Amino acid sequence: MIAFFRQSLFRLAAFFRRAQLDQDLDAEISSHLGLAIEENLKLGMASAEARRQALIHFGGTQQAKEQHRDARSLPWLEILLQDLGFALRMFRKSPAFTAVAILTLALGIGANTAVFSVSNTFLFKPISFPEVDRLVMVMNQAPGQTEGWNLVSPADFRDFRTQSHSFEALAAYDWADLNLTGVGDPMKVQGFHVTANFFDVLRATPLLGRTFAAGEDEPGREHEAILSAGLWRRQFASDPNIVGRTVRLDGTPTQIIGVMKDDVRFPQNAELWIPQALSPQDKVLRNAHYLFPLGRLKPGTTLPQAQAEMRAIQDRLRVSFPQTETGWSVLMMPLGEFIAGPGQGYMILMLCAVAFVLLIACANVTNLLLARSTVRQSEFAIRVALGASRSRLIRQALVESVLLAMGAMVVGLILGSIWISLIRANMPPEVARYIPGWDQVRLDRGVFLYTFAVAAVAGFAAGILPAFLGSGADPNQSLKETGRGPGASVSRTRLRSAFVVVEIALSLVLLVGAGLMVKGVQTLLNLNFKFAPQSVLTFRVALPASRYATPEQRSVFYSSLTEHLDHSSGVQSSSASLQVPFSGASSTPFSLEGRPVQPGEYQIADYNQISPSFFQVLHVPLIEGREFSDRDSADAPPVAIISEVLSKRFWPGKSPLGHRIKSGDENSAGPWATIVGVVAEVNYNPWRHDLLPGIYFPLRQRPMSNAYVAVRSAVGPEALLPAIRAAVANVDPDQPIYDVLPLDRLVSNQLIGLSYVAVLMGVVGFMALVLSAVGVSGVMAFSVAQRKHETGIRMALGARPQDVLRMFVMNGLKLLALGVIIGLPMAFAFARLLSSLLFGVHSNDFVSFFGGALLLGLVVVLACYIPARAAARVDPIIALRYE
Amino acid sequence: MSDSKLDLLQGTLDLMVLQTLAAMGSLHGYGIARRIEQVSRNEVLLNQGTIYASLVRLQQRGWISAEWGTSDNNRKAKFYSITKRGRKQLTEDAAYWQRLSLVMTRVLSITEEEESNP
Repeated sequence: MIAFFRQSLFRLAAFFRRAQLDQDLDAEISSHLGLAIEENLKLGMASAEARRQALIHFGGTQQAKEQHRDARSLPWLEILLQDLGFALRMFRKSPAFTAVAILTLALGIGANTAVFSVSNTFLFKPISFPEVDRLVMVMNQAPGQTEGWNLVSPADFRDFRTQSHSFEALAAYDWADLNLTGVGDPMKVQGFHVTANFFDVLRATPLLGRTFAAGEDEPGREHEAILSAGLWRRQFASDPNIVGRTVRLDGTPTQIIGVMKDDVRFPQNAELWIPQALSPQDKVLRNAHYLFPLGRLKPGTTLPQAQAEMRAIQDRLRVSFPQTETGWSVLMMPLGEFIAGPGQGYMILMLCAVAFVLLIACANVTNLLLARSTVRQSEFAIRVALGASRSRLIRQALVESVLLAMGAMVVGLILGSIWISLIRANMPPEVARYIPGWDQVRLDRGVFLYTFAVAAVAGFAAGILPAFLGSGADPNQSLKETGRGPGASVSRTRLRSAFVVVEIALSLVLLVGAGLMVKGVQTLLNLNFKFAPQSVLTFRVALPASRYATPEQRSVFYSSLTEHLDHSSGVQSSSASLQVPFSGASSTPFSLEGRPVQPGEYQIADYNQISPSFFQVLHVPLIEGREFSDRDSADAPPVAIISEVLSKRFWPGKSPLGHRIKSGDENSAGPWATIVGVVAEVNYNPWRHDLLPGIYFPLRQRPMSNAYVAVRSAVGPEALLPAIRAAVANVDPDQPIYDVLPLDRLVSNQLIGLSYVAVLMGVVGFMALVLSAVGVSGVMAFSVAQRKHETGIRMALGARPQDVLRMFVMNGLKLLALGVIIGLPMAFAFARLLSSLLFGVHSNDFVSFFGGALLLGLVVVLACYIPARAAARVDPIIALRYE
Repeated sequence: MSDSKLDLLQGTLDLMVLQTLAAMGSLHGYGIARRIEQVSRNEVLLNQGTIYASLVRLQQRGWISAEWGTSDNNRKAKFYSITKRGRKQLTEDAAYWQRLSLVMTRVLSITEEEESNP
């Protein structure tokens, strides 16, 4: 082994001392011959004979030198340098070919670079904590739930924590939207309630101060907060003496005890963490699911082991608490997977799509190289005749294609970085901050290495076939052929046609995919155009508990705010509600009077608390009964409105009016509310495949402290902003508003991931179309040129130009037909994948299939027609003379 | 002695060179080639030039060393001698070859009778 390394080292050194070593060898050989001649002379030979014999015994000085060189140095390196030099000279001689090949590959490589840089962030480094692979989420699945996860109830979490042995520790968190006052302007911060051991589980250490101590998550001791580095810099000007300072969160005096390091951005875009101090009543809740439990596995414990233990615990809970636990199960997943979440499917999809584009690009370059190797056949033949080995020719050809790919990599990196900046620039900042790691999407070392690998593989893939075929020609045959005869190149033409068929098939897949995506997104948007979101402006308010302690105070705030707004100029109507369409859903289990929920049944609905004008502002049609009115006040009988789906499920063919409903289980504290109306469905959560039914309660009977205000405008929504600020200031000058967005922007933000995929698929489909057009016309043009002689004969024998045209176009159509026949089932499979990933995309949308095939067909026919027309216009005399 | 000479098997030339140097001390390329020819009684087909590829290989592995010097008849030549590591390698390789040749001899002497009556 040592000898081998030593030898390799010497060989490498010898490579750089070639000249000197050659001189040394020459001296040695001449000394050798001198010694031999001398001895021969002594034996009595004549001097000429002595020299002749010495040379015969030596056996060829050139061969000896070559053997010596091969033995001492790295012949492949020397050959590689020669090949590189040769390849560069060839490229310089045919700049058009080089440019087309490099650009084609660069398109494919650039797309791969860009998509990888995004997916790299999502799939491979969504989060970094020490030994992050031991961090797992311990979620629930509701009865009948097959996809996704559900949150966990406080009592279940406490049982998990006390009964499990798989974890070093088990923590939990949940959302806390907080109003931060006492420093600068009042502002809304994204906080999270966390158990005291939360940061210990993550192994996250603070930049300043400390983390929570055991017991600080008990009621009465929870008035402490830890800031994120971002919030500390932004709102507290990086105050080094921040620890110990008191601020007000939702009006409660809270002491800052620490600042987290920059890389701790969990959960989501956390700006602040406060203790999760559950009241004794909350701790025993089993039917309210709102915690995210997070554990660190003990070293050596695997996820399946932990999962098995948790399932056993859940089984015991089911026996002890059948009413609430029947049908519930535990679903564990690595933290990385949990965070990457639904984005993962998209990313895999986009990676597939750009890989297809690269394949098409490779097929194009392979075809270019095949055409070239046909043209260069005599060059290869001469080299073979001069003694070049086949492997040497293959190596030469591969060096050329890989070198092309390396050139394409450079261009691809430039294209890729343009893509990346476009991708980043088009992400609205209010969405970007919710995407973990979004700011880390860039061209980094990993992306660079990936691009390099992709380019190298693409270079090999594109070059391997032309290399083998080009080197395999019989020199005798090709030198005689002088590059015209159809003989050996028939099979090659067939091969090139096969590549075109593959290109057409792949392009069809991408085009159909693009069509489906665009239609899917449009369907989702159209759903919402029914409520004309472009003329609605939304903003959010969070009423601090200090000034709005009682339900009455909050109720008065909302009604006077909407009243002020309604009287502002330009405003048609306004409403306040817990949610607006696409803002995300608040879901709750519910019970119907006289229909007790069976164990194992999980009735869940999206609920909303709304002011009377909500349906009017958002154009939600009333189907039956009445809307809420001002008479549905706190002291009036409780009422509710349900959605059509809910009505049809429980009262099929009958009226639900007059029946009573409540949120939570039958025995929960909430009052029974009488159903007074039925409305159409509203989509609150675009990500659910199965829409939940909706239940509405009057805001005046349940005035919440966080609300969306929606204002429908007669003028453009942006123009309303001063009027809105004035109206809010009129009601309460100290009340901040935030997240001011036109509703259509809110909708499109919710769909942004989908839109990105749709746009990318569109671009990718377009690239595929262009690349296959280039491929088809390249192959056609080549075959027209090759068959020029034949065409001339046909025309001399009486074929009319349109016959020639038809012949070539028919050839193209055959390829098209084959490509479509192969591509359609692939496209269908791809469509199935798309529809399983993305809500709103249907795999049986024939318009997309038909449209995709039609568009592709038109482009392919056009790409055939142009070279075919050139063939038909040829003068037979000239064609016949053409050699 | 037959007309056809023996082709050298891969690696055998290296071993012959090592053995020659071990036995004869310092020698130049021509001397090594002549010596092998003599010892093999001209039975191996040796283009003397091939010896130089073998020499550079052995040198790079550190089994022999080389130095320019002057021959008995006052001619400049490169002299090779075996190193300590070369001797060790020679012992190993020689043992291997002897074992191999023994086995080959035995295998080749299997006659038909032995095969049928083991």
